[in-house]
Amino acid sequence: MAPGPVPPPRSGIIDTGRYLQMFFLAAAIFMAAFHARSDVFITFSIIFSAIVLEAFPFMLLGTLLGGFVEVFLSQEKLLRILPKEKKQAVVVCAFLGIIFPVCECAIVPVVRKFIQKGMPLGSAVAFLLGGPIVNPLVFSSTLVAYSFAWDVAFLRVFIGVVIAMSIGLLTDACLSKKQALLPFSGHTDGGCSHVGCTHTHGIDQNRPFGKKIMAALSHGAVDFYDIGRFLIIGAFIAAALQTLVPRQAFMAIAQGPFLAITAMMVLAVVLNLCSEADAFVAASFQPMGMPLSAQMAFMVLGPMLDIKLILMYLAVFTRRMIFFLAFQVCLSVFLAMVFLEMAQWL
Amino acid sequence: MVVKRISGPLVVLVFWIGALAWLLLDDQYQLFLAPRFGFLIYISLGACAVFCISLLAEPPGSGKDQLIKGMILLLPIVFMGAAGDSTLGSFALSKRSLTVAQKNSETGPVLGPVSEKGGEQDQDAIREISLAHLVRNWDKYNGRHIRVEGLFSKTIEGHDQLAAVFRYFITCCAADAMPVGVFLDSLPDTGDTDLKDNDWVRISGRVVMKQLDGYDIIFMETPKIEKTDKPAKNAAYIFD
Repeated sequence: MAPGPVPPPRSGIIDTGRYLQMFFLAAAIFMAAFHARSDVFITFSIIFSAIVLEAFPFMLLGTLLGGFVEVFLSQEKLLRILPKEKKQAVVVCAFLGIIFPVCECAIVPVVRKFIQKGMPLGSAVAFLLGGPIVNPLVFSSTLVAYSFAWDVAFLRVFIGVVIAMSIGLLTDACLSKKQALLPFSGHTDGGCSHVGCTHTHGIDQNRPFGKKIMAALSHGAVDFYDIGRFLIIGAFIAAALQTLVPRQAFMAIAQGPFLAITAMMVLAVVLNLCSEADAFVAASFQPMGMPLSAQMAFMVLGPMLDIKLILMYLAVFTRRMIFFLAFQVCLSVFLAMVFLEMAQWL
Repeated sequence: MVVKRISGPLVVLVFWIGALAWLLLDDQYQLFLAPRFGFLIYISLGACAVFCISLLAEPPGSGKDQLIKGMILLLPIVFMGAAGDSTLGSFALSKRSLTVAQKNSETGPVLGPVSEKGGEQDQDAIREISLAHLVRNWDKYNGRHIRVEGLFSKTIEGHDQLAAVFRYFITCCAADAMPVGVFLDSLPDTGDTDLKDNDWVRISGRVVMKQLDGYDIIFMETPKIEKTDKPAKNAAYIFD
């Protein structure tokens, strides 16, 4: 057996994260031990379990797909497929979700693998943000939720893609891979990059097909183990907010279109809904008089940024990159929706 | 030899397979997800099983923080077990608005109740309907006498004098649950029964639309209420 790769250096954010994770674990166990029969705990447990169960299969499929990318897609192949010119690559990657139909829970491990395989940063960001929106399943669910209002479904895709491209281009212009990526995410020698992983299959392309399949699956499993916890922590925080903060509080401040847009953006971040399901929730706000721009803000922001995604981004990006991404996404979505609202007045 | 193949990821996945199988038994998952999303559980189960086989064939190397990662991944199983057969109840209602009709300012004046005569006529034939049917076909029932079943809540957040009988509309999962039901503005006649929050009740009376905080809300007037058994494990949920 070939010697395993040297574990890459760990960033400060991961070490801090380690203590936070230990604290989180202790708090969760304490909560389960001492409040098990209270109404608050039961409500929390149901919502937490529901969010996890809904996102879990997509997370598993995402890591599975990531495993196949790791083993079957060499760096050379990926770079051959993508346009050489960075800007063109960003545009192409914003639509990549059409052929990689993954939702936002699944896309993070896939993007991580693409980055490890040498995908340019801006292109990876464009795929990360645009992928869950151009996903044909998401498009279909939007259509169904809005009673086959094609304009709403296409508007969602259009705004999502424009924002994904803009932020992708901006990322390439403002940040280098070193500034944006955690050390092991930027590992691009084409080999296995799992911390402590002793596999050699990422390098050996001459293995029999069956062995390669097994290696891809094994990689997926380890990836799931590596980043699945971020989904759990995100779902935990979202469930706590859903349990304790009244939804009326959001509705009360949603007086007027601009406040409504802001309120729905906050709600999208807090609720952590799957992009394949969020259109149904957004559409449910129609009878309450919520403007389309605010519903659209919910549907565009949700797949790009929510609590569990921010936590999952910690497995790929530096803190600086996450702040940059969060700020750009929020600002872009807000401005796009203000524009949409004003366009409706004209 | 076999012991050497046991790793943290494998143990976590085995626990998850057990939990997912338990969710499929007796459709336990419907306490968290809408039935049409049951396929998600099968996908998870399949993916976990495939991952397990691959890890047995190719055990991963040991890494850092394996125990923390594993324990965090197992947390949802603990909470699923803690939830047991419970459903969302009156506590969740206190954090969500009871969903009904459109905001008053946009729909014009609230429809008035039907005439007393009409009401008297309908009183002879109280129709037993579901809360879902009432909300979806509100126009048909305004001012009529009906009987519905649901969970009981003694008070409403911000309106201590109001009670409610409600259930939850679920589109995908319990996280998007929206309560639907009727408000009761007079203390219902409960006979000798001492009603508590989350008791299952059957309630009859005349339903009318009234305004509350600028929204049109369905109220039941002079309700008669009786405690009843929980119709089904997931009866609190109406799946869209």
